[in-house]
Amino acid sequence: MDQSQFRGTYRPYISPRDPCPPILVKTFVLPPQLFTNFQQPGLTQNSPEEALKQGSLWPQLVDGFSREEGIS
Amino acid sequence: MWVYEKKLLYPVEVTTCNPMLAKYLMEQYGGADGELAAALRYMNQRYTVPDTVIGVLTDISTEEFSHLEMLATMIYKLTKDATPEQLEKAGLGAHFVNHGHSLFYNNAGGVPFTSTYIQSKGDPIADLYEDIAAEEKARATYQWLIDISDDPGVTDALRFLRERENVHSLRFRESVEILKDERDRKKIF
Amino acid sequence: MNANEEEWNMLKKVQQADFVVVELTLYTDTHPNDIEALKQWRDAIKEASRVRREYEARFGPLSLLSVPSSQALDVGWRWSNTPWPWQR
Repeated sequence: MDQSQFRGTYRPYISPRDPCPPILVKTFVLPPQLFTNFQQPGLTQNSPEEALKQGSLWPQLVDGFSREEGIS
Repeated sequence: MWVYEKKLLYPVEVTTCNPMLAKYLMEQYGGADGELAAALRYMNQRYTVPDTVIGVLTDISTEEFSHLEMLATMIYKLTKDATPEQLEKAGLGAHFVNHGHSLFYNNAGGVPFTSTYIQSKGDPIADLYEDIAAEEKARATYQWLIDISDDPGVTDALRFLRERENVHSLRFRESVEILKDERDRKKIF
Repeated sequence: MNANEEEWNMLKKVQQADFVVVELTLYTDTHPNDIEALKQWRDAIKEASRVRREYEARFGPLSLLSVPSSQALDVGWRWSNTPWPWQR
């Protein structure tokens, strides 16, 4: 799944007096619904099995999330 | 009325005895942006919104109760056979002396649920914007829970629940669009 | 595959079919004039009820909207029998 279209990044100010090792780039979520204020009819659909697994009948509404992304 | 279905919305599999994780999950059980708050918020707002959006609020509220049951299942399984010592080590000592092994509508910090978490303004746009915000806050909470979960089965269920918040948020956004279509063009009936 | 696993898998089929209905119900709530979607929604409800009947014929009703067979009662099925959903 290509998540990059549903993520934003910014570079926070880094102080030399920050006590923790600084994270240079912070990532945050821009979920699919931000870009679809009204769902178009006829979008591609998941199979019932895949729909339950992913959490939606429509793959275009799924952005996924995992610890491995390292957002927090 | 409602009819009980003897099944979960999503098959939840918990693999660890893990009271610490149970404590964290309580944020979505009895917390401000949790499933109980969501279910009660929508179920109460639906009486005073325009007819075109009553269905959305009713159906999403009903689904939130099934999410609440999933959370309860996870918390129940994670703590079911834990000893008082294990509970205490997990920070659930205070919970144990008050509630034993039972569940309670507390957040992860042990603060009991309160109706001040939710609002009903009697103004459809104010209510729907609160609902969209509630879905995004619940999504964020699920993200931080996924980051902290060390049980693969729980992580899988949390991933499903997070995705549902995306879909619900979209349906509330669509509800706003539906109401915008009601703008006072002098209608001929 | 033991009986428990078989039940789990058949229940999963019900959960999958029901989930499609959940999704299409929410969609048609905000798209009441999408005729294609309404047709699919109807079909999804039919399919979900077919899959449910398959499960219930083996393991008993999942809700009180389904009629328990007299054989089920004969072999000791009761609505209040375990496991409840959170106990599985």
